[in-house]
Amino acid sequence: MGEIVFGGAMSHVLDPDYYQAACGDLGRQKVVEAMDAIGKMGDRFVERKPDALIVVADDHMNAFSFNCVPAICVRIGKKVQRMMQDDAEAFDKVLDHMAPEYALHEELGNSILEQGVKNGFDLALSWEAPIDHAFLSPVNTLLGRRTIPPLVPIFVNAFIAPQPTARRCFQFGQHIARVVAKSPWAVGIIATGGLSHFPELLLGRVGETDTVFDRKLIHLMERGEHEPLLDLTADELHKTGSHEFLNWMVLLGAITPARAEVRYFGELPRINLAAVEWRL
Amino acid sequence: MSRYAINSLLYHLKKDPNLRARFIKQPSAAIADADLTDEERAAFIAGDMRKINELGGYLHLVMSIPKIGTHGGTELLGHDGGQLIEGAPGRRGRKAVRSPRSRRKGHTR
Repeated sequence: MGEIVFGGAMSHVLDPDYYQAACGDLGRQKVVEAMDAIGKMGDRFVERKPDALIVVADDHMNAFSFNCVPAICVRIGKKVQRMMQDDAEAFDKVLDHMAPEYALHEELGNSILEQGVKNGFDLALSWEAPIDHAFLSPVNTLLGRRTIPPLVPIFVNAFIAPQPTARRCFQFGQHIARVVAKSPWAVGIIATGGLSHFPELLLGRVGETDTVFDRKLIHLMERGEHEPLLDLTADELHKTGSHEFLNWMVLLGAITPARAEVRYFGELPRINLAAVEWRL
Repeated sequence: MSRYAINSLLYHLKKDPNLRARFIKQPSAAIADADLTDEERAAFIAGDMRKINELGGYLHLVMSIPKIGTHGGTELLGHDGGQLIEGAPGRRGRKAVRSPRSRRKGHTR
């Protein structure tokens, strides 16, 4: 019988140079602290010997622009490539030093997809979508030079309205838990992104966060009180810059009713950096 | 729903180095065939990323187009993560920065 053996969530631009440029010395200091905390989460991840790592993240209009924007998409196949960008800038530059190709856990990806469709989740699938910093920055920070297990990347449409609801994302996470439970595998799952940044996706509001909202989310996750989070609206997430919390909602569905332990929370003008692990 | 034409153009400027080079050299000619309103076209020609964003251009595209985007906001926002001053010009118009502290004091908006 399979089991989710690790659950974590973290911000997903994990690069000291990026934060040095964006927020100066304080930015560098805080992201280094966050990365250190995530690396220690990786120690615990490795101890549990997972057969696969599910990564729930969002596309930044790199993989699905604009032929199709799926609400939730399972990346299937045997391998996945990282997004390539000539003269990469900003968050895209984080990818430059990373391996170009990663193994996928084909059987688990197919199981999540096939059983999902059978059970009422109209999931999209892709054999070709590349993955960007939202997937690879956390994976590489979590594991460093250690072996990266086969991945199951899952895309959630966090940015392009209309997004899936928080409740639907949670329900999809519950589906993942059921699939894993019926499988023979030990599985880790991480959600990436956030916390609050880029409210309303307006350039004029880059540099604002909503720390009160973030602390409310964290308080509920620490207590294992997931029910109130199901009613989060797209409007709330948009105004507070919490679009990527939809990824976290999938994770919460997969590990509920486990309680969160905050490994790092660091406020910056640009974003609130976070690293959270669940007691499973 | 967002403006498809704006975002399609932003996407192709990011992913197509030839289009990007033509746009940098002669923006009006490079986007002559794009299905844009006059206001949108003017914003692209001016390189006014803030305006393009306000008209529906997705933030992550606006921020990450090589040599055209806002370079992650570092040029426009300064190291303290400060705010753009309302009405400040876009990249080609150069930058203006105000810190969160001054903004809280009601100096902006």
